[in-house]
Amino acid sequence: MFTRGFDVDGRDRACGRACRLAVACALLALAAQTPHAAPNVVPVTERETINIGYQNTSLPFSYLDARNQHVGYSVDLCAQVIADIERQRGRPFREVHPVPVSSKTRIPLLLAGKIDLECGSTTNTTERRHLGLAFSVTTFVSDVAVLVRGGPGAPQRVQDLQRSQEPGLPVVTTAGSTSARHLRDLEATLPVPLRVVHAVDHGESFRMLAEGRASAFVMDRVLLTARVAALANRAPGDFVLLEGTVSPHAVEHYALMMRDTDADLKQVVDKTLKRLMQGGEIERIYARWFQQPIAAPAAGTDAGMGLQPLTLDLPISDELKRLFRTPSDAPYATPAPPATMR
Amino acid sequence: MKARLFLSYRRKENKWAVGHVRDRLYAEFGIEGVFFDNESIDSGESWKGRIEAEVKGCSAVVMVYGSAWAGPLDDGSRRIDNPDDVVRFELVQAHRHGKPILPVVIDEALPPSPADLPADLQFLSALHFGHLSAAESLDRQTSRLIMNIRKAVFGRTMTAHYLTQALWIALLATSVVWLLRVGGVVGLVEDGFARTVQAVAPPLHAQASEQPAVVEINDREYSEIFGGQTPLDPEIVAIFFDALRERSQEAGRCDARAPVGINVDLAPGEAWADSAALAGLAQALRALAACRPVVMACPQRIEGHTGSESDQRWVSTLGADAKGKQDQPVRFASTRVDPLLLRHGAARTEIGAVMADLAAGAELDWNAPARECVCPATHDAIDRCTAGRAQVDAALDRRSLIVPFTPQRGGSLARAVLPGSTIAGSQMVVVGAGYGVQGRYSVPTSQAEFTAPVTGSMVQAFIADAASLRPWLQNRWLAALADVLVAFVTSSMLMTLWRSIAVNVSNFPMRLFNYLGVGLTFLGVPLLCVGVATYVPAALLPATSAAVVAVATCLRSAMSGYEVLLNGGVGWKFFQGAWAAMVTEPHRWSARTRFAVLCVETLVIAAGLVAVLA
Repeated sequence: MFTRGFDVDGRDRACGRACRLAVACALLALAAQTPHAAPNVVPVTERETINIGYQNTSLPFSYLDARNQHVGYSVDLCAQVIADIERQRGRPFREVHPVPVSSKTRIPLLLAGKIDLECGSTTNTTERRHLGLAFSVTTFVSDVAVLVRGGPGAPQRVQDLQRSQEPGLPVVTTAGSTSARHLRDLEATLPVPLRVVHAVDHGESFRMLAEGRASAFVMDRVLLTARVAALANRAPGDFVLLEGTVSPHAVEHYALMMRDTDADLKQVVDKTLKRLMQGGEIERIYARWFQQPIAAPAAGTDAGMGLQPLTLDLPISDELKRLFRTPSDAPYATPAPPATMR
Repeated sequence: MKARLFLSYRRKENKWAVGHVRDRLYAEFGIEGVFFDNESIDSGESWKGRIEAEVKGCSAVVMVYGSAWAGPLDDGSRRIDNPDDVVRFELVQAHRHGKPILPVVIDEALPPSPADLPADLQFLSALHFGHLSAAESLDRQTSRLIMNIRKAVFGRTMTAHYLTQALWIALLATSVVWLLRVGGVVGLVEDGFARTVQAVAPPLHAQASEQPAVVEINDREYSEIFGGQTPLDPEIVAIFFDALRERSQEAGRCDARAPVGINVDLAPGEAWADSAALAGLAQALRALAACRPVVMACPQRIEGHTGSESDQRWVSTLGADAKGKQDQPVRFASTRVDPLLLRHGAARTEIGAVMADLAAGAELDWNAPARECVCPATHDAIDRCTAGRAQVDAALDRRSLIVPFTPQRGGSLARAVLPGSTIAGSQMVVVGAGYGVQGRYSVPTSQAEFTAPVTGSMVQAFIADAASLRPWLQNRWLAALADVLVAFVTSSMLMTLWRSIAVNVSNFPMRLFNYLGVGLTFLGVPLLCVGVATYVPAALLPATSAAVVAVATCLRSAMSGYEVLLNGGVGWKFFQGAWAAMVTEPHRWSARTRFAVLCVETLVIAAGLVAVLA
């Protein structure tokens, strides 16, 4: 498509570490010197309108139900946040405007000021924080799994993925998700690169797998589990979650996302979530979405895949319990390797 | 003003010396410009009356003084003591009429002491006597005499004569440089100069408050927001450009003179050819263009003349073909950088230069036929434009534009669109791709590579900055005038130095260190240009040109200096003098050479003028 990469001025794309470092330093210096945000911007908590980004197909965190209402675990958490903001400022927002986002558009829309708070299934990462984003304390933890169609010859383990990849069929993941990065990491360990395509949202990714246009769907385990569970008319073994994980370090700490310049909003969000966590209320919200029957997604969101009410029956993991006890807004950190014994 | 010289001598004086002086005066001032009694007084004419008239009307008297000047007679008396002596009469008349008298001592004779002179010639003892000796170069000695004559006769005209020569040298040096530039030779020198500047100069922050802001998609944004995918997802790009429009509106920058340059190839390729996302991006760009002018990178494949159908549709969707769809179509410009861009106004087809034009309020003729080749959108147009583009490529060496330029304003794309960001409030904004950037800057048509962590967006911002803040730098007439000025100052200083050395040759050892200091100052002219280029990056190319001109001037002035030192004065003549010298002294190779050099230099200056005109 592009004969010389994307640099329109004819430079070679290969770059040494030193020069990359030099450019990074130059750009960092540039960013550091530049007054990028005016101090006179009205804080989100003081405005009359707040724009909330919701995902349409991120079951059960944020999705459209049969009434075309955004519902889900993260939606409930955000409702608590909004209520706390209104309580704190002493008056309700004139409008709480829901803005549909996808994994691909949530960050650009947030940075561009189209939304003020994103309530979905977004992973808190160091890279995203460097973009100018801020995350609440962690609300959920998941690993990254691989979903394939079942049947004879289907792989059983993640390590078998490449061997069993159907000729000509790519692996699909959702654009803008951290899974895309994890797939790149996985590719680095394989002798032959995978062919990866990026679908616009989770529903489209799943549809590509179901329709045989992709050999596997790589995504957070909780989202894949929910997707399969929501399928109506499915037979046992139609879809199989492969054993193992894409990477032992592919641990996703979900959080509510906002801009790092909105410090006041971040303060209220964290305060609300900590109150819910320390008061135990978040466990009731959790149980409602992960352990009890939940509404089926809107039919239109999955292009006739026939989704139904479901029960995930997913207990709170030990890691999440720990994070509820000691809330933290730190992203998952890869553990340091053990010290070498001599 | 023409000189009329009176040659005073004793007939019994050394004939070779008188003859030589006479011939040089003839060569220099013409036969009619010199009174020599033997040849100028007709038979039967009253010599006394004629001499009195000639002395009265002459510009100066050249007095040849040798051992026979006093006119010793056999009886021990001297002719000079006779009040009716012709030589005495001539000199007394000259003194009475206030004419300059330039005595020249021949061979080993000593200048007269007051005791040797009659009362009415006592004034001679106060004069400085020049020397003419067969033991030394006669050319050099007589040239000094002529210089002194000119100085005595013309006074200030003498200075004008030097300045005229300095101007001639300036014109000549400038012409040579411009001709070499047309021939592509100077480009190599200037590239070398630019690289020297890069080597010695630290990165600078431009001081201009309206310097273009550089907004770049960095590696992290490319990976985290765009998923590391090319072409860039139009749905995401549209969000950012829509936000850029909003920030521009908030900053009050919806202005026809506040362009945005997009130095990223946004051509969607086949993957997005007909998607709704593409339509959304086109809408966002049009909305931005309705707010402030948008100058976009021509798709790479079109610039490479391998444009696909989708790229051509992309150009025609947004470009000038979109007339009627909106008032402000997105403009496409080449991303190619012409090192000579700032020195000629014809190639204003690059993003930075077009931005500068727009910022300056220039009326650009977007429908001009030549503009078709900036971003030819059809196969036919590509075919028509291929030949011309190849020529541009051949002359391209963008290393000369890799300058120590660090934009003061700007940041990452995400930071630029954050609510409250003031970056979009800049008069000019260059949006570019900073991801994947590396230090090896390849040069088309060349194996050479240059190392500099400079992005294309920074280069375009540099061009926009230079061209907009200093638009006069692009005017070739002003550039040529500046070149002439630099050369004139340089050559004037050098000519002054040569002349000072020539006039004070006897004090040369005493003045040696002064001369060395002045000489080092002349070397400072090119160094000064380096300094200018260092601290005013936008002036790099004019400073480079000036430096080359200054060096060329020094070379030519050195030749003149040699002549001044050799001959004791400016030996340069206009055609008339040079021709006269060649006619009167056809045997002298120097006269023929001078005339030939003068002809060649005239042709060079004429050709240089044509080069500037062309």
